[in-house]
Amino acid sequence: MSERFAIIIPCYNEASGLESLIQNIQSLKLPADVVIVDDGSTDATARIAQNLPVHLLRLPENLGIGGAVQTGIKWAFRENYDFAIQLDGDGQHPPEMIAKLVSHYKQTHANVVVGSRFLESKGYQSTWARRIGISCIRFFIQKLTGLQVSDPTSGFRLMDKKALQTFSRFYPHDFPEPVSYAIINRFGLKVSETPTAMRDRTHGVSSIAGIKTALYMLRVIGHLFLISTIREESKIA
Amino acid sequence: MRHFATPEIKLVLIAFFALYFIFLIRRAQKDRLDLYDLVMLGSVATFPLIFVLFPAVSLKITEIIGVQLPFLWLFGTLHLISFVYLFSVASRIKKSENRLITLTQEMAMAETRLEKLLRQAAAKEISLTREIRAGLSEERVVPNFSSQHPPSANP
Repeated sequence: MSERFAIIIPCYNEASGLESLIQNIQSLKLPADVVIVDDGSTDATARIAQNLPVHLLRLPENLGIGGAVQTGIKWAFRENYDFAIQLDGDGQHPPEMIAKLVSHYKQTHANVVVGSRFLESKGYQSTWARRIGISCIRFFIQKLTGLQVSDPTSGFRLMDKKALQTFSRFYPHDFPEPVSYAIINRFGLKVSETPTAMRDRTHGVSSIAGIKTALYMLRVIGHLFLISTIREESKIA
Repeated sequence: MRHFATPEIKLVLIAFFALYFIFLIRRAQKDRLDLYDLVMLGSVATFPLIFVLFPAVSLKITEIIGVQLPFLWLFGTLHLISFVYLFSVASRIKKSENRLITLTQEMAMAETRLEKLLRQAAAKEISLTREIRAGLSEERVVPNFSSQHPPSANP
């Protein structure tokens, strides 16, 4: 029996680029189902997604990226998918790179394969302020979890069934990508990175800019510290 | 030097206590306030009343804990109650937030699953209708066929 893949796309007000993104994925003829998680969008995202060949999970309220991604993960796990690939709805992650994540999984069998923009300096590398923040987060992830990751904020990742099972139960709602490394470490999941070229967002505005970058970094470190110090698995919210 | 509250102050505090508790109990009756919250919020009025009606109690505690003024002891206690209450409320808000997130996620998944089932049911209904129509048309053919070959029993 062939393996089942789900491509999870969390969307919040991504109406302008959603159709082209799905067309792009369809053109690749990947043996995967697309799951769009509409995170309580106020624009036409849900209406557009309804007319596309996708599974649409419509959240009645905006939960933020963590809650939206976890909804997709829960769905993929319950619908018995073997793998889920998380892809941002803002066009930063090129769908052509999905095959690279899959082939890297086949080589490493890591539970989580992350697309990193910093392993090779190709494509969009983010702003200097963010890169400083990312470096600090990277340092604290290594100190607190022992994991060495180059792109801790990358939301372009493949998760196998074990990771899906874990994340469907425990997934951070705030700052999910970097904080999830504490969960990855806590549950003994294996993580591996593969170089991936990313693009600047084709539409929409990032919610993290200016002073928020520093606050983001501090809060991520706080969350990482909290989860890393929890002894009992059941206590992780 | 010991100061005791005047009868007017005692009356004002008793009136405040009574009105405040009526207000709290009514809210609790309407299920807008938890019983635990009622006790916590009620202590804001209870403590000053005990303080004023039974000054000997306050003075004794003041002597035991070594605080010079009963006034400080009273406000210290009220601060402690406020912090305990704040802690409890913050914990409950976080718990409710997590429950709300789970509920919202379940709603979204249930809606999608329901739509999927409805589509499957509709597809089944269409195929069933087709089968019935096909069956009916076959039935229509039979009488035509039989009319061409009337039964021999028919004169």
